[in-house]
Amino acid sequence: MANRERGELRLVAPDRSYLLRLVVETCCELEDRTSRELSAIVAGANAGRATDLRWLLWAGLQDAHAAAFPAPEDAGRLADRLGGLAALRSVVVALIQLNEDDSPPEASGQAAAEPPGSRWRQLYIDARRAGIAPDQFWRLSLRELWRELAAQREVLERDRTLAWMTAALTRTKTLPALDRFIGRRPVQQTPEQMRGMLAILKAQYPKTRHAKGTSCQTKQVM
Amino acid sequence: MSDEAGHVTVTGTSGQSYTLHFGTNAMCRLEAISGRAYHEVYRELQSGTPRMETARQLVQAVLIAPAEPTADAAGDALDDLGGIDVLLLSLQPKTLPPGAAA
Repeated sequence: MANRERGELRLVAPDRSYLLRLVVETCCELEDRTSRELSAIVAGANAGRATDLRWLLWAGLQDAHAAAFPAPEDAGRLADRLGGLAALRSVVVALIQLNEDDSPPEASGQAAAEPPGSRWRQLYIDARRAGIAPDQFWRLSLRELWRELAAQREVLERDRTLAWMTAALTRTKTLPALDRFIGRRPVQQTPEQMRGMLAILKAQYPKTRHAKGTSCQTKQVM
Repeated sequence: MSDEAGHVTVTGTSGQSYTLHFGTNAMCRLEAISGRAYHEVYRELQSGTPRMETARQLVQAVLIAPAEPTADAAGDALDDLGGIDVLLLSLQPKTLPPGAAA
């Protein structure tokens, strides 16, 4: 079974099935082998370039089937067994879509123009800040990586909000009630519940007479 | 001419046999040789007025026996096979990669 949430895609060939997973380490190796940025290879594949489609299939196979597919030509032969370029394209497009970073550009902090390799360096630093171990980083699928970084951004936002709220509360004259502060609405009693409570109070507290001009005080029986 | 698992064997006027394979790796070779996406090359070939260089690039990319021909050897093979028109007529439509149609 392929776990899509881990970025896995099951590829069924006539003779057997394969597990595709686009991991960070392979993406870096792909850029090294092609001397091109991953984004350019993905753009080429989306435009239907056979070379880029074959490279991405090769990259997807490396996590679970590296020994059987040492070269992109091996991935090309698998593509032929799948039915050729049309089949290859549909598989690779599915793999690309599965691993897309769906966070908004301003959230991911991606600059418009970056020197080669700088994106991986920044992603590594961001991942380490998110608590991901070095070995774990290289083994993450791109889908997992984007999610980890999105979670890290939410933690950062929570911490900043907490700091701001703490500073704001120190400046208030009266501390608001916790229920109101956290936005919890007080529980409304039904008329039956109110009558029940009054009955309990009536049983617990005796009738008292108050002298004129004195404050209202009750004497607890229990 | 035979067709088995995407392999096409064609005999030239000289009696020489040529085996062509229109697979994924051949299309990648075509892109490397031509510097263009394979579907752009096919569009030109299907236009009816392809450049001779493009025709030769296609033969160079898809010829697997004799293996790894030079551009000149691919040109000679193309002549032996009767030229680009004869080659394309004998290949279409079953050997065209899916998505190659304009």
